[in-house]
Amino acid sequence: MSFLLNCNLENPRLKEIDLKRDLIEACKRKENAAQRELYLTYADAMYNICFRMLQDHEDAQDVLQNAFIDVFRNLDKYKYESTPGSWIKRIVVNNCINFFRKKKIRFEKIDNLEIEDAAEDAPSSYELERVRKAIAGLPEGYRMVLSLYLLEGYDHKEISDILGITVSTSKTQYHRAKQKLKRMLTPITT
Amino acid sequence: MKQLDPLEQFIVNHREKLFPEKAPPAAWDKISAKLDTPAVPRNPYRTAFWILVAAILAIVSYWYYAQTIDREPQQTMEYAAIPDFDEVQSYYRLAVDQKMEELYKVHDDATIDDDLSLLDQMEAELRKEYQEAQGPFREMILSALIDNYQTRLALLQKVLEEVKAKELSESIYHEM
Repeated sequence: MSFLLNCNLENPRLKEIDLKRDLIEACKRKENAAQRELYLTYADAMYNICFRMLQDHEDAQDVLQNAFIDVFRNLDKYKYESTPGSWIKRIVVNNCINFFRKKKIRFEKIDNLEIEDAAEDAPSSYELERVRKAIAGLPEGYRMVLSLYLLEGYDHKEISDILGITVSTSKTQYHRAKQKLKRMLTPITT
Repeated sequence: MKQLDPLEQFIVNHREKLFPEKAPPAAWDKISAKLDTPAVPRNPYRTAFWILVAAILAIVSYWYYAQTIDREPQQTMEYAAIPDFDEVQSYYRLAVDQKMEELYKVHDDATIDDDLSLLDQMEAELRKEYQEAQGPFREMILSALIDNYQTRLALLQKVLEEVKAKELSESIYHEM
């Protein structure tokens, strides 16, 4: 028995599930202190996801609150098939998407793009603040796909399911987002 | 695992520093207040009512269909059976993804994206029609979906061949 227990704890995913099990069960019993602890455990990471996608502090806070309310109201549906973090993250991402749907998120049509010279020489090094501003400056559709793929670790099939687009649209949007970032980060030579 | 380019690697490596935001302290109080207010309970009778309405509509629709089908002239149509469509679809999706990866490494032109977007739109329309279609029409739509994938693959292959041919002729020119 202890051998099996040790084996489980070697796997980080299973370790997270094991460590959080008691807390989750207390939240299911609607114990306020447990709910607060669960919130504090994941709040910063989830807030970052919201802010990365929405680029607005007020919007990010509203979505974070709605997402956690969904988390606690649907916690009885969580069956430990994924880590608590992954499950909560999916709810947060869905709430961000719903927020954008209300705003009618726009994916850049290829024929609307200005014809710009491709960044022939991408910079060899990057600066944090410039990269951050460049990501913030991306059009919504590009930023969303880039965030989900590069920052949140979803693959294009998962992104296509989340956003209701095709896999090839997801790949195209990601490819274009990267190109635009490189152009924005390439210093202008005179 | 796909190899990341320098920009991607930078973003992934500096993820925490790029976005070091903290959740606002007041957020929990607002969440807690709403959790104390129970959600509006769903009326189970309302759900049962709509299930009953849907069942009646289904019965009426079937009765109407049964009445009208006898009046239509018998037509024999043969459509190719599409056994294991899911498997076929998976095969084409993988082939298209691989071809796109190969192409994007050597080709950076928006033209092909227009064609791919058009094929995406056609695929979406076909899938929508499939949901509403019945009987042999469904198989027709599945055939059209496979044609869509084949067209996509052929397009990507054609562009890839043209790009490679152009590169080859340019390299020959430089060697002269």
